Amino acid sequence: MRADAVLIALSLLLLVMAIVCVCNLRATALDLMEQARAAQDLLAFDPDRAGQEVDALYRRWMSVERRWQFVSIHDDLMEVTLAVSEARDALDCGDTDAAYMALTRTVIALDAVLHKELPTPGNIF
Amino acid sequence: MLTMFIRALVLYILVILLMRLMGKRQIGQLQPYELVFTVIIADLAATPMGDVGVPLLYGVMPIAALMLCYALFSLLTLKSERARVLLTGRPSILVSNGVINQQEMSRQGFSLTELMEQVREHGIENLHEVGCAVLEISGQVNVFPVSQKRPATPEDLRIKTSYENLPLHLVLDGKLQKESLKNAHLTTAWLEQQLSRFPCSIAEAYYCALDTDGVLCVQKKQESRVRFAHALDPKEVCW
Repeated sequence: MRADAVLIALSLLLLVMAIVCVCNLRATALDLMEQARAAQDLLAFDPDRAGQEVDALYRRWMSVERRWQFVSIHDDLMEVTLAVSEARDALDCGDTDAAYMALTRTVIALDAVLHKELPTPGNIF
Repeated sequence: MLTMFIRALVLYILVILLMRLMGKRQIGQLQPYELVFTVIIADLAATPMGDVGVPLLYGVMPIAALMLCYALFSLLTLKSERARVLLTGRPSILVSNGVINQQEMSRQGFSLTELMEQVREHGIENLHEVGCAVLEISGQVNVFPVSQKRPATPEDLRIKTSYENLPLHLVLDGKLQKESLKNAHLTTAWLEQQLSRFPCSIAEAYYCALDTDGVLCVQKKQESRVRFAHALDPKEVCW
C-alpha cells in the first residue's frame, strides 16, 4: 500500500514535471518562431535591424538549447542551432537571401521540435 | 563514453529502486500486470542508456507511466475483488478428490502429462491419491494429497508440542546482532556471561544462536565444532 502510494506520487510528480516542461517548451518555441519571422520581415526593409534581431535570436537560442537538451532529441536541436548560425553568418556577409532561407529553416526546425513533443493524436497513434 | 557510463548508472539505480518497491516476489510469482511491467521496464531503460542523443527523460517518462499503471493496478487488486479477477485471474481446481476436472484442464490448456509431472513433483505417484490440485494465478500448481495419504502430524498423533520459532542469531562472524538481542529482551552483558562458559568472547564467536528451547549454539572462529549450552528457560522465550 505504502509502496504503491510512493510510486503513484513519484509518477504523478514526473507527469506534472513533463506537463510543465512541454508547456514551457511550447511557449518558448512559439516565441522563438515569432522572433525568427520578425527578423525575416525586417530583412527586406532594414537589414541592420534584422541583423540585431538575428543576433538576439542566436543568443536566446543558445541559452534555451542548454535547457532543452534535457527534454528534446539532440539532433533536432542541432538543426535549429545550425540554421540560426547560418542566418547570422549570412547577415555578417550581407547575403540577405541566404539569411532569409536560413531563418525559414530555423522556423521549420523549431516547429519540428515542438511537434515532436506535443501529445497530438498524430504523435500518440 | 563517460556520459553513457553515468546514464547507465542512473537508469540502473532507478530500475533497482522500482523493483525494490515492487516487493519480494520472484519472477515466477508475478501477476500478469507485474510481469509486463518487469519485461518492458528493462527495454525502456536500455534505449536512452546507449544513445546519448536521446535525453534521459525519454527513458524515465515511459517508466513513470508504467509505474503509475502498476501502482494503480496493485491498489485496485487489493481493494476490489472484481478488478483482481479481471487483472490477475482466478486459481483453477484441476483435480478434486482424485477426479480430474477435464473442462478446466482444457480451458487452461493444461495437458495430462504436465499434470502428472506436477503431481509426481509433490511426491504423489497415483492421481487418485490427489485430494486437490490447484493451478494458481502465478502458474504454479499446488498439489495436496487425500487426507489418508498425507504425513501424520503431531496433532493426528495427539502429541503435545512446545512453542517453536526461528532461532535468533546473536553473533555472526564476531559481530553482535543488536536487533536480535533486543527482540529477545536480552542484554550484551547476559550474552557475554553465557559465552564465557565456552569460553569465548563476542569477537571470537563465528556463529552464535539462541533457539526457542533456550539452547545457545556457539561455534568459535577457526574451530570446526559446535557447542551447545542451556542458556534460557523456555518460559522466558519471548520472540
